[in-house]
Amino acid sequence: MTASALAPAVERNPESFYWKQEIREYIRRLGGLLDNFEMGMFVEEFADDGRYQLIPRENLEGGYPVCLIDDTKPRLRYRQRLIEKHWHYEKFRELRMLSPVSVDVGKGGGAANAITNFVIFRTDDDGTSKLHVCGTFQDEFVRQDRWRIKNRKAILDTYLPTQAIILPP
Amino acid sequence: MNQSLARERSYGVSAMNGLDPEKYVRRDGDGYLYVVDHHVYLDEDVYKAELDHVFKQQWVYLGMEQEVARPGTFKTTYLADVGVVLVRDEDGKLHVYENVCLHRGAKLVRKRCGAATSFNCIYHSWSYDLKGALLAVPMPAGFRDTFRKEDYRLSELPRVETYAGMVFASYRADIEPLVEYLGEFTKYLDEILEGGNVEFIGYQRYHVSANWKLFVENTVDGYHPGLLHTPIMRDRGGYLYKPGQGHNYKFRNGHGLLQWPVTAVPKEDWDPEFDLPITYCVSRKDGWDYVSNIFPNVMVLYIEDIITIRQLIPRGVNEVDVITYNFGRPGESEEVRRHRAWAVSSQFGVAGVASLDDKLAMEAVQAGATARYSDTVLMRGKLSDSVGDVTSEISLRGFYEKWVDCFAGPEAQTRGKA
Repeated sequence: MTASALAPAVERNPESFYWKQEIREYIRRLGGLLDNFEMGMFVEEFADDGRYQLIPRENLEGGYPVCLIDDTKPRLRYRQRLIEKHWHYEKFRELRMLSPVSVDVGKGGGAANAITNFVIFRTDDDGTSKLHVCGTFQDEFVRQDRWRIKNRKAILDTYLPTQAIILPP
Repeated sequence: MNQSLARERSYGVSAMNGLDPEKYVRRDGDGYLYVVDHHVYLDEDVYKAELDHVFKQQWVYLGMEQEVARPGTFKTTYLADVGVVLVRDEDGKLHVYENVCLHRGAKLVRKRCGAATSFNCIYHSWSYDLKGALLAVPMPAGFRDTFRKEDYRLSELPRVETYAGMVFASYRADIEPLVEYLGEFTKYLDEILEGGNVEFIGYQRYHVSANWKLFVENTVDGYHPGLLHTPIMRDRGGYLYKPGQGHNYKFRNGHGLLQWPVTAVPKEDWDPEFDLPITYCVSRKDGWDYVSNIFPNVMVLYIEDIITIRQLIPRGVNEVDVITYNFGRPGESEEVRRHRAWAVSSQFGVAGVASLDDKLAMEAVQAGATARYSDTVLMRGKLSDSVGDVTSEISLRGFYEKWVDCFAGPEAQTRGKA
């Protein structure tokens, strides 16, 4: 992960500028898919060998491999079925608030890395809104037919989540 | 004024703060418990009594020796509602102190873990050595003549012992040795934790909006997995075991255990779109899976490749924090280590395939328990038995038998003996 918060504020290469804008828009759209409960569409944004990890910051910093979600694309499809058919949760909505995105695009525009902070609020069916979780996405994207997620590592700052994490952050 | 809890404080209250524990259970004609009143999940008075009688009268798990492996290393946690610090002193001895400065009561150690040569209060800079002695007090001339540092020591729990790398502490100075408290259960800990020779691979932490006992109930409830969790899995014979394939035990002191044979699916038959990582096993081909509770607040699980300890910290009558400690074996291959981590990441925790539904189920019971005149029925399996089918509720009855005995004083500690 090389995306740097110290990247030049103004991108002077038009091609690179365009790609970075694409990535920023793409990350925003990924958040929107989950906010709209489009888990199936979110899963299909992953490359076939793509991976999603939600890892507590204390494990990441301690060098421990245990996560809260560690899904390949097939496992994400499985999670989609749990969400849509099996898990016994009550209706809710989530809102993802995303920070400005720091992006590095590789030469030729075939791959990109990005860092985005996230805050997610959850509103229960009775209308009660609460902070759900927050943290940082470390994303790796590859350009195939279009941008796809190669790896999304969601680093969880929330130490003790109180509500079940049904949708991936 | 010595602050030693062992000498100055007594938690040996003989009555349940004026409440009768038998009021909360129903027994058959032979005295066997089979119904628990919903008030045990709801009543503040019961909860407060539990803090004193259940948690402060038993051995309570606080963490692993390897978290405080070197002299000077410490961690902070809770014993019931009391913040404590577990520290290894310069001589290698473990101590558990109430995490409070003796001067004005500020929380003394504010980090979750770390290493130190002394503990210093941020407020007025009183400092303590790792053995609990008061080292220094700024501007000592301002205190009255009778003030002597030597009279002040951190409030230390009188008993700290370990088994298989697990650290337990008790407020009760005269409690039986830990190894006796664990009793027959030690043979399972020996097998699962190999004497503490396990390697830590990460925490999972989350909160459940339910009474702490509901978490214990859920963990050693062998009846629910094939029902609550089966729809989320392809048919592997009704979860990991079928009725009749395993056993459900209750032991003395309220400990319980479920066991069933390892039923590893061959990797070549395993389908990542349908099967859980937990259902193929790379570290062993046979033996037993275990799910167990050590009364009151710790559970030890060994399911296929997963080795997990769960610590419960009650946060109120209907709130509990859950900390899980996950392990591998020293020297195991990369493949095995990776698979263990993947299995636990998939299965357990606040987003885990099974634990997520468990959390929702516990919270549903807590919400349902507001129907105060209903009861929890624990009638699966013969009431008089101490071992039965894996889907029986024998270990749950053992838990509640011990729970009742906690309020009756030390003389009743063997009444729930299997």
